[in-house]
Amino acid sequence: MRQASRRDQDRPTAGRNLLYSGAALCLALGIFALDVMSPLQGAVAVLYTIVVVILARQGSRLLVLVACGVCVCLAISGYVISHGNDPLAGPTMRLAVSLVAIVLTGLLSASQISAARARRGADARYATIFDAAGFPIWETDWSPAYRLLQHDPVPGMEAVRQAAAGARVRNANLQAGRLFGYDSGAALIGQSVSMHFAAGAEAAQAALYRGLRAGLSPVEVEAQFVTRAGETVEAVLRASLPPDSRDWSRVLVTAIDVTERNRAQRRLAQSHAELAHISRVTTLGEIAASIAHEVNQPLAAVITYAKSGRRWLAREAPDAAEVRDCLDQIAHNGSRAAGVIAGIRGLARKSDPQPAPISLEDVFAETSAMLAPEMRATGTTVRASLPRDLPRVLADRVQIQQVMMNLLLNASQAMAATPLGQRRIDVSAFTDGHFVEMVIRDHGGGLGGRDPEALFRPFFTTKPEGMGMGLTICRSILEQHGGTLVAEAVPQGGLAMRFRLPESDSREGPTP
Amino acid sequence: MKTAPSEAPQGCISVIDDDPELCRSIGSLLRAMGYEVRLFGCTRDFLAAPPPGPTGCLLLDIRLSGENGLDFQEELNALPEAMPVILMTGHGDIPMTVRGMRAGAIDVLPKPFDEDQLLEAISAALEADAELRAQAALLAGLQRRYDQLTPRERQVMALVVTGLMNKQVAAHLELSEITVKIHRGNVMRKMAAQSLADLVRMAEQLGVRDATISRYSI
Repeated sequence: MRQASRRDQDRPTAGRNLLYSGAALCLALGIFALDVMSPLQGAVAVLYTIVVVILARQGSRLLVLVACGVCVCLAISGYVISHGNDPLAGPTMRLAVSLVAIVLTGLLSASQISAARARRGADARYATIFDAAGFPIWETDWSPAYRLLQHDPVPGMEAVRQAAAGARVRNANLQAGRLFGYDSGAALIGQSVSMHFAAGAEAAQAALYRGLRAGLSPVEVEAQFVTRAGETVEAVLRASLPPDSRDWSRVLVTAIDVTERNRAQRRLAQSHAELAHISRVTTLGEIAASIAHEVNQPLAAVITYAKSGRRWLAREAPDAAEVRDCLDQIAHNGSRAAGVIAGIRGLARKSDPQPAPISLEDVFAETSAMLAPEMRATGTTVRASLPRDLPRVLADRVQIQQVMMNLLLNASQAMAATPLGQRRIDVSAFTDGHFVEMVIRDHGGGLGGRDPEALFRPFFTTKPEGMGMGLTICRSILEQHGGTLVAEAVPQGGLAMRFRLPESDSREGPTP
Repeated sequence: MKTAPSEAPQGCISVIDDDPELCRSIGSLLRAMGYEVRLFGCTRDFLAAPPPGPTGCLLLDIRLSGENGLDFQEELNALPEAMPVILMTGHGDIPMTVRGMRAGAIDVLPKPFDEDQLLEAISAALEADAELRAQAALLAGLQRRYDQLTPRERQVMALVVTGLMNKQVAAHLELSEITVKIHRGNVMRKMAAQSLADLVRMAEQLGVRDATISRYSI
């Protein structure tokens, strides 16, 4: 049976098959005649195997088996005609041998036909998958790169560029063509994808080469390309080596277009940063009164010292020591006011998060200094016991300051009903070798039996004018830094907020 | 009325402000003005310190850490350490000012101070303190003299200052008129009263007039 889905060469093949069949028929008849009529004392019937082999070329199991049966019949008929009355002797043996040969040939040909058909089926399915896949896929010849890496395991960028330019696409599907801005996959065939590399894509290509050479298959990297129309696309490339492609002459590359995904991620990160900024400014608004006080105090001191200095000078016996003290204090208080303002400006500034190794101890010191007037006004004492050798964490300074500020303010506000002498916030920190954990504990009313997770739900608030976003945003800030934030009720009363951040040197390699 | 002379600044100014820098700056300015200064970070320290010798006043910050200056001002009025109070505020509002002035503050000064305003407030406060002290001294003298009277003399004094005549007093106390006259003479001498009007004023200050009695209600 021929498969209807084979290619266009079917018609000429049909004609040739007819020819082969005719030839086989003539041959079979010729052999029969030779067997019956010639006086040859050989196993002429063995020649029927040629008939079977010829017909096997047509690729039909049924035809082969029928031909095999016919040949067996002809061989037996020939024997009966020639030696029908002879006793069982040499000719019978020869017949037996011939029959075995014909049957074996027939069976072997039949199984070969089955195997070939299976292989053709697999090839066809492969081609179907290749063409119909919804994502770009191409087969390429990377043997120049293979040779390059044989010579130089750590090639320079220029060498990689040349090797990539020497690659040739063997086959590509429609999606692959579209990825680079063509109407079909065929446009890529015979070319090198490297002409679409965006700046820096060689590094990704080199990473693919290194991965394959290290025996990894498949290897994945993200790279940027420029389409024919000049647009930039970002794709995750996945190269895998088929088992029979030792010299990288056939490497299968698939790509996933992540341009849209990356764009969405960037937008998401941007709105996260904006939300964090809004929340930061809102928090600053909450403590605006105490900040104004904090700035006003040193300014008032500066002015008072200035007036005082003038009076000391105007006395009948000017007192130089007192005047010097006034001037020193003016400078000191002036810098104090400037420091407060610098801290606020840092918090209010709108900038993208810039992760860097920071010391939680320093950030805490800054934050608690900024909140000191607020804490004084509410009669809250902050008791911190932070180890001196706390490892640094990789995080954005302003955002972590924001988290601490929120947690400290929440803790202080949670103790509004606590007797004055007991309004205390305990701050501690420790490391487990991978994460630094900081615990901010108040002595307020605790959770009142509520689920600690409820605190992190958006719009959850216990404050009359609260927005209920503070803790939600704190948690998302920490999660973006690879950390966590949890709340837990303290059995002795109060609430402990624990946040963790990864240590800056425990991270392998650069962050994506 | 006697008032303390105020030509040369003198007196001890106590300052309570929770901001040590600002507290010191006020101290420097007041010392430059010639006053004696005591600085405190909180009200507890102020109450724990020995009272100042000469006349004084208190410069009190309204916003103290963990406590309210206005509350302390009201508490202070009932204490023996009471002295005139000038309130200071970094960001005063009207309700605070009204409350402070009602509780008897000399002035409410916004920080940073206007020097003239500060000087004026301080001299007013010191004057008020001097007057307070003078009155207290006067009252203490009167009280001392009153303490020297015998119980009978006090009874006679209480009745005499209501305007009763000697014989009415005598009838009231069941004494002879002569005896009342002798007691009355002793009262006038011991109290150093120049006239009956003088004695009446003293009785008013001491609060010893028998309010249940009047000349016409016997």
